[in-house]
Amino acid sequence: MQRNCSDTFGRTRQKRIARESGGLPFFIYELARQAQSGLEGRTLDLPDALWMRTEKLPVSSRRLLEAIALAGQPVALKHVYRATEIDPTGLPGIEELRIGNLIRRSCPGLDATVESFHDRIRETVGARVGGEERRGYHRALARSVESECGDDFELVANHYLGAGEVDRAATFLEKAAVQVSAALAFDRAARLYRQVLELQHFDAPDERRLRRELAEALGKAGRGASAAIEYLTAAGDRDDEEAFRLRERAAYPFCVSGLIDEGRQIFGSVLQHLGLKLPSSRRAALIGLLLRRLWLTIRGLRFRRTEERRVPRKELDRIDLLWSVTGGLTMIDPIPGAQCQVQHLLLSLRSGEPSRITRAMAWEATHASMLGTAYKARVARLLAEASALADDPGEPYARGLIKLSGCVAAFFLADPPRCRELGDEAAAIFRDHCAGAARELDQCNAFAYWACYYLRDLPELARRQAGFLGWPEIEERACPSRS
Amino acid sequence: MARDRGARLPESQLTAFGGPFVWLANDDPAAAWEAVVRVDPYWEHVEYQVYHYTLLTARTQILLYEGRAAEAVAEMNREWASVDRALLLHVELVKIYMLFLRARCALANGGIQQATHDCKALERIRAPFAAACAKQISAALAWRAGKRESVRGLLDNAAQQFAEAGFLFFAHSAAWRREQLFGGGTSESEWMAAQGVRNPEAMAQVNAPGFGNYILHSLFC
Repeated sequence: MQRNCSDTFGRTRQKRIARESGGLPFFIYELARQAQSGLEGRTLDLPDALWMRTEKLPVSSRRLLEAIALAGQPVALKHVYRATEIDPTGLPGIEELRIGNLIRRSCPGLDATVESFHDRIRETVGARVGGEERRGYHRALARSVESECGDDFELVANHYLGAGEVDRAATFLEKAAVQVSAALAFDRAARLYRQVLELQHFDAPDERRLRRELAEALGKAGRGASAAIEYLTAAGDRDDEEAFRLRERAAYPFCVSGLIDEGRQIFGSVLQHLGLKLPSSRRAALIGLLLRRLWLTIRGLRFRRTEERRVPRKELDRIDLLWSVTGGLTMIDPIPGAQCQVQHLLLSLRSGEPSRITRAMAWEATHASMLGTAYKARVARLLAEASALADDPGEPYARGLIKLSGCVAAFFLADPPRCRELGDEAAAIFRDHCAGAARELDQCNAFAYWACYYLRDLPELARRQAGFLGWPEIEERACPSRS
Repeated sequence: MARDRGARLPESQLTAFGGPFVWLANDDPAAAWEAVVRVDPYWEHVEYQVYHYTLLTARTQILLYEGRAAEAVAEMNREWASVDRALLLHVELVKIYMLFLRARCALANGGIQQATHDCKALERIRAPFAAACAKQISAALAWRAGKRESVRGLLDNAAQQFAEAGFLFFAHSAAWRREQLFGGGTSESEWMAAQGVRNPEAMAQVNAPGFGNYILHSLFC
């Protein structure tokens, strides 16, 4: 073929064919045909060459090829026939496309999937189907796919989008987002929710709902700052109960994303909403902490077990908010964090609700451990009581949290081997059994990592750092024993 | 990856505390600085808190590794009051770590008085880790005072206590220092090599400084 090309065309054209075709024999052939077709003076161009070929196909084959190209991905042959309104009996037109290297087919028969033989064919053919004809193909493909296998929501949505039916596209994109979120693909879910929001103007309640879902997905994917911004956007300027809850959810992600002042400000406003407040200064936090610890020592850890539904909603809200504040502040500013934590524990004990008491006791152990080895016995007791309360095998979050608390406590009690062991165990629970526990997982990773530093396990330290930070340009210069 | 998802807190956690040693092991302090400089701006405009403290520990230890002890002492002096005002010294482990680090900076810079002061403070804390830190500082002070006969025992004690407390990082550094000063095998050097530490002397300048003229000692004693 090369010799034939050399004989027929000049060297410049030969080079252009080689470059344009990317070395693919099928494209070389089509370009050579274009060159031979006598269109002197025209620039050799692969899309033109492919389109010339398409135009020479019988109408039914060309329509099938157009539908396949617009499908954009492997699609069942039956949808293609429906979209083109061609009677599928005997599968007319398909074999010609296959033999002509324009499509691939997975197997014989109507249940086969088909796709363009090459992306350039898909792009060329797809780009030249215009206007109403294009929308018609997409509409027909959407309806066909929707009626047959209703669970590929994203595909259906994309075809409705191509058909210009934005409302229906949004409906299916949202269904797709819910679907992938359930499959724990939170980054993809966030992308889909964003797409829904960008598609059209929603009324206020719907936009709020979608933004909340988007924020949830972002938070579960560990993208705290982006989640916080979406929560705040959803809350807007309103001052109702829902807006309060949305702001509450924004504060913690801001803190762990390093936007501490913003996080504190929001925590302050939501605490005020529930009649609570952040300590005005670190000194005030220290005094508040000492007084509350004294009260805790006097009253002890006794409580009267009460079912969640019997505890007033506002009381539960206060406890949950203090948990959120504690989680946000502990790793940044330990003393105000400890003051909120002891308040969290006192309110939890007063409520009598076991799951919240478990959480509060476990986390109190981490704060007690910060005071030093003199508090070792108290830490052990708190963790033991929390474990006894959480002795429910169906509650992996509580188990993970108790292990994480044990890991943090072991770190502050200067016991690196135990810290690493518990950190890794907790990480496995959060990773495998608790969807979206990104913040807890981050803490497990950090403490187990620090334990590696104290344990003088530099290769392991390097391995964990590489996995978490992903800074290739610095990593490749780091500890050689990593490999 | 932490940076991709904007998780600055965990990113800083893994960079500043312990993180520099990944690069220092490869004898590449420039890479360690590069990593620290990346996360430093996150905490520029917020009230002094945990991450300022962890960045302080990173900077001073890289400086010690580079032999810039006077700058490490200056960093430590400049920020000590901020660490105190942030109430971080109420956390026992932070207090032990900071006293030990300040004493190490002082010893590397010849500051006997500061090291003695911090050593006494460490001795007053009833925690095995603090006791081990105090032993190692005492060993360096004894070396400086010319009391060579007690140095070996103090370093042995420090290494043992660090190991018992689970702080193998410091245990092996103390044992390596003892091995360099008094001989008795090459097991610690081999251990350092197995960990990928390319420059054990510079690493020991971070973890067990204050024995500056030991090479002369080994030549003449």
